[in-house]
Amino acid sequence: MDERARMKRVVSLRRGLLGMLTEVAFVGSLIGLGFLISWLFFMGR
Amino acid sequence: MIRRVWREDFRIIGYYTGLVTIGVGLLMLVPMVTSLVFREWASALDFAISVALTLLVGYVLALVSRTKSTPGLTHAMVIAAGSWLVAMVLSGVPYMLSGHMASFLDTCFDTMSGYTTTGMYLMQDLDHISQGLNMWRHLLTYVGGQGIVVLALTFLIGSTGGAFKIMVGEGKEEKLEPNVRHIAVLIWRISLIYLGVGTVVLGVVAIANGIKPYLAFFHGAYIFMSAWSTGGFAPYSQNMLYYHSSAMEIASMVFFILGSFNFALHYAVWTGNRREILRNVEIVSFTITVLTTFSLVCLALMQRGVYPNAVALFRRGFFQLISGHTTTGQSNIYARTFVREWGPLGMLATTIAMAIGASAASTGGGFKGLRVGIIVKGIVTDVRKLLSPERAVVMGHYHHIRDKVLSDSVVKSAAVIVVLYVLIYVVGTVVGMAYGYPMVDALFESVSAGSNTGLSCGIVQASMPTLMKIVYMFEMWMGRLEFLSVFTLFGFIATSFRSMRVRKTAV
Repeated sequence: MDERARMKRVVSLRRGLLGMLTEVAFVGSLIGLGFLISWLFFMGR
Repeated sequence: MIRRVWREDFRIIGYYTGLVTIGVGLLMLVPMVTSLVFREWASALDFAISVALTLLVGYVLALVSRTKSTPGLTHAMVIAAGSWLVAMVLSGVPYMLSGHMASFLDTCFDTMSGYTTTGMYLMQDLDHISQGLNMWRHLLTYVGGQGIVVLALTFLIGSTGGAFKIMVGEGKEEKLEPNVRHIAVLIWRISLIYLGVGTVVLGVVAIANGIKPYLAFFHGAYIFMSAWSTGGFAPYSQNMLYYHSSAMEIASMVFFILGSFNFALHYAVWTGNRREILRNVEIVSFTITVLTTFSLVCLALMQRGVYPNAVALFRRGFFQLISGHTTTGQSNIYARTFVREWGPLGMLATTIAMAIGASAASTGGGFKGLRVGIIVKGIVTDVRKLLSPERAVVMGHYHHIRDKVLSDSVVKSAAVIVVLYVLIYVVGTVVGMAYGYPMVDALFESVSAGSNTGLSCGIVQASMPTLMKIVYMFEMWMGRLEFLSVFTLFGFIATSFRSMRVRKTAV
């Protein structure tokens, strides 16, 4: 594998990993929003 | 469109259906090995018989109808719909041999529920089935989520011109790459990477919960396969309630929300377009509908004073709602809790969430966020047109991977599919009501089946009327394949009979 192919693979792997982390962060935020709504309803009862 | 059916049409359909059947047979080797690992000899023998039978049927079908012709759109649709039926019957053989099924209809119900990622089941004594059979149940739902045709495309069918059409027939119509085999490989790569991550995360949580290490990773794999494919199965009859673990529930929730995303979105985000997750019409639509329906659930549960604190409200209410919205169907409450504690408003909010469902070209079911987004944008555009001067040109847009113009034909096709979903939901509800179930319960269960969710308020059980089992199976099948391929299959069968009549008259 030459240097260029190796770099391409590293960039692709980094993008994939960052993509996965972005997805997990988004899902985490959504779950956090869910908890916030539960808390607000409970506080406002 | 096929006006008359010729022998070559049957050959094309038979050949590709045979290949998909061979794929199903090879897949059965996984639970067979699982049974051997756990020294479940009787179960291993059941799977050996099933593998032999399925491979034989697939091989004979492919051999008898061997052809080099490329499938057209009609063939592709019939292959997609027909393969699911053949797979449903043959995948049920190990179920029947296990002795845990009351009838063959119940077996077909369970395998259809598995493949369509619904998650309802009629199996008897689920808590004592073999590990091999448990692996098979979860594998069915995992493979069904990606699409069994996608599986066959990846390993058995070459990159033929008609292959993409078969995938469209299975509801995977996003063209991520020009080569259809590359699309199938991409879908599998994303799913398998998450399978590895998910099995480890859930396995570690299971160990922390006191499950023996060698068994914990099997539980991790089962729960991941169920979550990622938005299936809803679990190894024990109490579903997620069995674990009594909020960590397990949150980890599973993360994976089923991820599983409900469009594969095109995963691809875009994984290839560097990370802002897509905030701009995509499906994600915007999903976020709004989740927060709205969850607010309704909170309102219902607070009115009835069901849960004593915000954590309990979130843990039960949000998990159930999001499980319904992503059409997963995993549950951390008992089925009758919906009726006894959540009440009509809580059930109705969950029903709306299930009806809307997940993303297009994902593992989930329901109308899909994309269609809801398109229809809402269509209504907004129409209102803007009415408020604008007559000569003004008002164009609607939506963002799905790239900016797209909202044409009337796009809104119309989205609306047609939504109407068809509503129709099957209504049919299931009417049949349920005809058997004496209250409207809210019948609606909940029908929408759950039609949107491939699998949450139950207690109607689905082995003793329910036979007609309801058949109607729910049709709902699952049609909802999963999004109607067109099923209608094409019916049209093909009708045309075949007509062609036979014409030939007889000519003779």
